[in-house]
Amino acid sequence: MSQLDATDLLCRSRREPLTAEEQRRLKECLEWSPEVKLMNTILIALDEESRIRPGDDLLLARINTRALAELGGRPASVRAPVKRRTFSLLVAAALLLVAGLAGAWLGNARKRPPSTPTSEPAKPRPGAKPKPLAKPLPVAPIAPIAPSSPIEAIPVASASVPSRTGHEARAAAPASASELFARANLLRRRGQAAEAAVLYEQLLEAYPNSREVGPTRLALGKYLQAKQPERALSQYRAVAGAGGALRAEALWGIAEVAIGLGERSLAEQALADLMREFPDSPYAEVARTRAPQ
Amino acid sequence: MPLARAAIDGDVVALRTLLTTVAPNILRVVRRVIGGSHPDVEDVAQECAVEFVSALPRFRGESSIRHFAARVALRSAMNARRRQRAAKRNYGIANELEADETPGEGAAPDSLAASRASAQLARNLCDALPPAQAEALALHCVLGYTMSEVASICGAPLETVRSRLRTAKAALVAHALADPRLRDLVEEMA
Repeated sequence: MSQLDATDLLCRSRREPLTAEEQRRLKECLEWSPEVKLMNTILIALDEESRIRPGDDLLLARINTRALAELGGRPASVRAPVKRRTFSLLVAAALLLVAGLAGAWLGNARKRPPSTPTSEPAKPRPGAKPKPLAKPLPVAPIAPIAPSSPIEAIPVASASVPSRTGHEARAAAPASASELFARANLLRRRGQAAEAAVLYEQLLEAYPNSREVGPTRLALGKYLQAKQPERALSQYRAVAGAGGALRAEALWGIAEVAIGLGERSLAEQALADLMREFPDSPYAEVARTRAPQ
Repeated sequence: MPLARAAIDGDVVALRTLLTTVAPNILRVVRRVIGGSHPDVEDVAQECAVEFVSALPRFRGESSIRHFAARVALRSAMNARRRQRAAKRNYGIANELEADETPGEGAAPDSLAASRASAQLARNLCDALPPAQAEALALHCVLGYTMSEVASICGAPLETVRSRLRTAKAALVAHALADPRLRDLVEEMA
């Protein structure tokens, strides 16, 4: 048997039971073939990275919603504009608009007689000429960053303020729970998990009855899971207790934290509840492999 | 296949159902290619989903729809990796792709370090190899498809795939031997 065949056996062994002879051959290859052992190590590492996690239900829903929104509900045969192309067109249009407004203002300024004080708030110094290049800024309106709609908080969260830095996001006063949630998600996606957690906690404190509380608790639980599992557990329990669509993820989170804490009975209970109440959830398949026979 | 056909024909409900069906596969591919904790997982997965829908008219049923989605997602995710690497080279942008390599608190055990290094090695090699070899290697070593499945997904003869993989895996072992974190793993057998 060649090594290539052995790596094929390795791939098959991850999805289907091998015959006794195949198992023996694979075991031999894992002992003497560096190629097979290396590939086995790679696949195990990647399995860990691509495992199902709490929040995947929401994540998949967001991905689908945003993808369909980007396609604009058009049938598959019509190719949707690429995000980058759209962005470039918008930038070009904005530049043209600014240039046009500046040009118009410049034209008006030249036509205007110097002695007509129409609306000037402060009189210019004698002999001083207006600075046409410095003025267009107030003429060309800079749109304020509008707070995202509360209803679309989750799908819009990561897309609404993509160009702002974390400091800017923290500096601006939050208008609503959805705004806080969007900013926290943005920070989290940028890898600033600690800063995001602060905003999540602010949201829970300031808006304990908002519709963002559930996803916020899940996100916070996920962040706390490794460092403060007890606090993560309390967040997951709060979501699970509230019921609703997020309960499946909360139960999964409880099971993961309980396994980490060595609380076997709690983990088993959570997995059993998950499989019973949400048999079609993406977590259920994995839960079945973890739950005791 | 009927679902895919209906989606291609413009049935929005079928398209939504199809996307819901393949989205977990797309997410899995993205996490394996760019890293599970990469901050751009969601954006890249969305990009892959859009690419998948856009590529649907090219689906001829020669492989399963999941395999088709996996290939489209693989290509999109690999392109995302290349874009980020190019941005890093050209503009000095911090390489978020290496986020998974960041060691956690405390010293990681050797096996964990080797595990992370091996995953990173496979990804880096996929960036560096010629496209056909990179695709075969990624489908086989990163996504775990058998060679016959790789041949079906790529629409290439099995022997061609075998040949591509032979070259790619030789490069994989050679690179592992050059990596101090993986040398022990490979050398003890070589």
